[in-house]
Amino acid sequence: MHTSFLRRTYALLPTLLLIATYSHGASLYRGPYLQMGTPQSMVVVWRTEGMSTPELRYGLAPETLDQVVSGSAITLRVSEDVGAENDVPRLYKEPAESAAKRNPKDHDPSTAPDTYQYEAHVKGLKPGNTYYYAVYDGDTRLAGGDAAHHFKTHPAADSAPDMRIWVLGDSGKGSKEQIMVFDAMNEFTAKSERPLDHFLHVGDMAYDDGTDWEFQKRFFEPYQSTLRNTVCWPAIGNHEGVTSRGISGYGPYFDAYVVPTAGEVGGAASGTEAYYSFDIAGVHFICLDSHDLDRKPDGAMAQWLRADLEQTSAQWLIAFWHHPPYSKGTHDSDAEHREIEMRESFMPILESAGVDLTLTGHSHIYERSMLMDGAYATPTVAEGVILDDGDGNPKGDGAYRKSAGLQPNEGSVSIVAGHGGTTNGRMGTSPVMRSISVEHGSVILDITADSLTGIMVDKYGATQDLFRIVKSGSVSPQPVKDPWQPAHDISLISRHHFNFAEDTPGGVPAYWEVATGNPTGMSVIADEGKSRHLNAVAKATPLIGVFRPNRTQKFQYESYLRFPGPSDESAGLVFGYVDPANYWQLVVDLSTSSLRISQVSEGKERLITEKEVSVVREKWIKIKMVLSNSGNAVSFDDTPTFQFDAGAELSDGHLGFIVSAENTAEFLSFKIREQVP
Amino acid sequence: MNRVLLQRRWRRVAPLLLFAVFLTLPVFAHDNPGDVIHALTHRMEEGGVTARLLTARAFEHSYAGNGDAAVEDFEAALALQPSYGTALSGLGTALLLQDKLGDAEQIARRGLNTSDSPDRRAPYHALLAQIHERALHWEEARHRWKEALAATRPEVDWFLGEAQCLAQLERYDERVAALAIAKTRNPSVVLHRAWIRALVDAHQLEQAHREIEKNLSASRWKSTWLLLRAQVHAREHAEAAQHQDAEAALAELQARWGPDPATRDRHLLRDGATALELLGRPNAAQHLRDHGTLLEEVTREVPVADSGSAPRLATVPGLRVD
Repeated sequence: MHTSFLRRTYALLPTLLLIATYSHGASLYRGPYLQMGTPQSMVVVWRTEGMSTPELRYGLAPETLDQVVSGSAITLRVSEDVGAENDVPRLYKEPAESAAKRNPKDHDPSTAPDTYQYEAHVKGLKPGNTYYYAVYDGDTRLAGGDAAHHFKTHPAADSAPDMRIWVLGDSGKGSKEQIMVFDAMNEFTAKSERPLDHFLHVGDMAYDDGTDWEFQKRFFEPYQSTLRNTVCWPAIGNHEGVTSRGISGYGPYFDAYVVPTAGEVGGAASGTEAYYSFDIAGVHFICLDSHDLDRKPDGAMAQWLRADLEQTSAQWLIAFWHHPPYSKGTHDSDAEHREIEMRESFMPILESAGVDLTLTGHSHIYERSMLMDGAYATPTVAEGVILDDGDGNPKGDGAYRKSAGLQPNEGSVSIVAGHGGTTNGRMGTSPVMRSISVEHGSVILDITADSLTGIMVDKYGATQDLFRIVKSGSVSPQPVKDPWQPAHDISLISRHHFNFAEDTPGGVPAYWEVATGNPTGMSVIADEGKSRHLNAVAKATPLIGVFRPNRTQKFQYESYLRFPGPSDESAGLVFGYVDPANYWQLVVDLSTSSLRISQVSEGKERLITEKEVSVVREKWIKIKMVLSNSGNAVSFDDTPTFQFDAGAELSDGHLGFIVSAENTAEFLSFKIREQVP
Repeated sequence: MNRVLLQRRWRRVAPLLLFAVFLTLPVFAHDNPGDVIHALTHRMEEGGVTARLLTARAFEHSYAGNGDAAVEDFEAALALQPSYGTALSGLGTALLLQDKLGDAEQIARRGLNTSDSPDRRAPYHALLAQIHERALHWEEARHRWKEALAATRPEVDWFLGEAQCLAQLERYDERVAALAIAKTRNPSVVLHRAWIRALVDAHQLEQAHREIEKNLSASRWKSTWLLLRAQVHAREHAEAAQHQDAEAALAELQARWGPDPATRDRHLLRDGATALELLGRPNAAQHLRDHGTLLEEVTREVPVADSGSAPRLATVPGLRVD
């Protein structure tokens, strides 16, 4: 893509000159940041608001920036409103049909007006050298020219690997955790006196919709101190995919990045920025688009991957993309089609070529596997696929061992690093994982000629996991019989979704029980063969069913509720349940047409707050409550209804449901999300 | 319908389906299809039916393999909003998957009539091309692929589609020329390889040799190129060289798939079967395709790859034999 842009810039010289003539007062809006480094070249990108006369100056010291890149060596792209020549590449503008459907309250995802993006292609550099740089508007320096603005070219292609890589995923939420993760990584690298060489992002860098504004506020601004010195190699996530399209290379994601399409950094030409490969000193990196391209084994991406892997003779092979082939975090790789297809279609190709490490995100958790091979089945099982069930820690069970070079099917480690800044969670336990953490953090990879060390650094700077792969000589790893597997501890699971599927035996879902009232009051009933619901029948006393393991004060809890009977009933959700005389409840009361929160203490009910609502019998009602550090809120059919203060009186307790005496209610599903800080 | 045939068809139409999905906001991309269908159904029950929600649910039905439900939802969406491009494109693809060629063609033509630019018309041309291919109307299919290729950024599969039609029409030189043009529009190695294969089919063997040799020397895993060179040798009636390359390819493939070929990348097995055919062992090739294992006589006859590329195999006691 950028090759053609470069060619085009020659034709655009008159436009550039025109811009230069009228240039005045442009302000730096984004960057400068680095892209597509090679041993001999670097791309420096920046944006201004308003026209400028773009120029990059660089040299071997901050005070001697004696080399200049300008004119046709700088690719220009502009926002749609800018009145340049028609064939100047344009930055993202929301399609009219999407704009027409957008809620006026939502942010306009288009590139800000009067935006100019410059991509300066610096060539003829020496491998492994550090250069300092500054970006200019004519003679006015916009940024750089100091010790903080520098880049290092890749080492010569035949050098032995010696690098530190930062791996980050699902970071772009704009949360304080995002910043803490970044600060912790900086602190870790400073303490270990080894700065980053490279940065891999496994997607979801700009929540919620990957808009240009979100890229700016949730990616470029927070990480600018790293991006000005370190190339970020990206993989598209589903949130970027809301506004960007892999098939056409269109949208804010593709505007922001300059990545190889024609084998510019080694590897086979992909012809697209959606998936690509590159080499850095003995390490071959593969980036795939798991979000919106054909993931079938005969698709163009798979064909490209096979061709690429046939060519590489690197010592290490690392692949990264967004949707994890193995995860039970906030996503289930056994149930979601993108994850399943990446596992079934792409893992066999990668493992046949000797992949060492796969890095993904999407699932908001840290999960790191044992050394494994051939885990393509659905659901994922550990039997027959684990080659080393140790922890991989040199100070623990010992490093994982593989033969030198890339040998087929000697095992790989899979990391889910979706814990970079948004709300974490865990819905289960993947049997192939050796380390699982719902703490926020990121991953540092240190790679040398014969070892790869992975370190999970949490948001407080602590090392939560460390493993190593050592490659030397010749080894013959074989599947471990009866491998170690992580215990499925229900108390560690933070996300539960009960929708009463066919495998709910006996009507009572696992881990649920009748706490008080009719002991046979819970049963599962099919709705016209399409869905099932829980039927809850109370007799002389209220029926309270509780979810046994969960005891927490901070959570999201929602359910669909329906009243089938003719009487004035009440039913709803229970929380902070201690015993039949002490609990809290959020109930819909048909007798008063209200939604209310109350506390039952020693058998006496105390109203906290109440609001009138419109309830239609035999129609599903959605009620949802969020108890968090920032406040407690309740919604009714997705409409925010009231907030309430539970004070200090809400203690730990179970979650559940309640149906008033002599009444019946139906629950379509329950969703529980414990708030993982 | 035959499962294998269905899978093949799905592979061909998947990109089209994806293209259709891209036209809308994938706001429901976060959960598995069952959950999303459930949520969308509820949302429509409570908030009313819209073309957008129906279309979103139709795509989820497609993902879940429920073609009838997908078609039903797409049609309902179009009843509400007759020119909704996402629904039109999705419906056409769903109908094609169901082998309802007449209905799919009607939808594709309707899409063409409601699209106002080459880029928007391209996916409908691609859909028509596949309909014609299904009917073995290769000339018409080729024409439609060419129309689709007028888009600003044609998909790699569209270039390959045109080349496939030209091969079926036995216009091998034109196929080489078409892929040569494709290479200038997109540097993808996939197109480059297709072009080299086309050179072989067009008996442009000298150039094919040059390209194969270049790739052989640049590749670590060489079986793809050894097999292609064996095919060139076959066309040159150089049987000894043909067998030599095929045996070398098979040895490398055995080294890569290890003791249990059936669990490995299925394309390695496909290549293994090609090697066996080039060695004049069609029964063994068929056995490998059918069972993912090698016949004993092949295991004995074919040497294992050099230990430098596969040290483990030296210690593995033979390949699995049925």
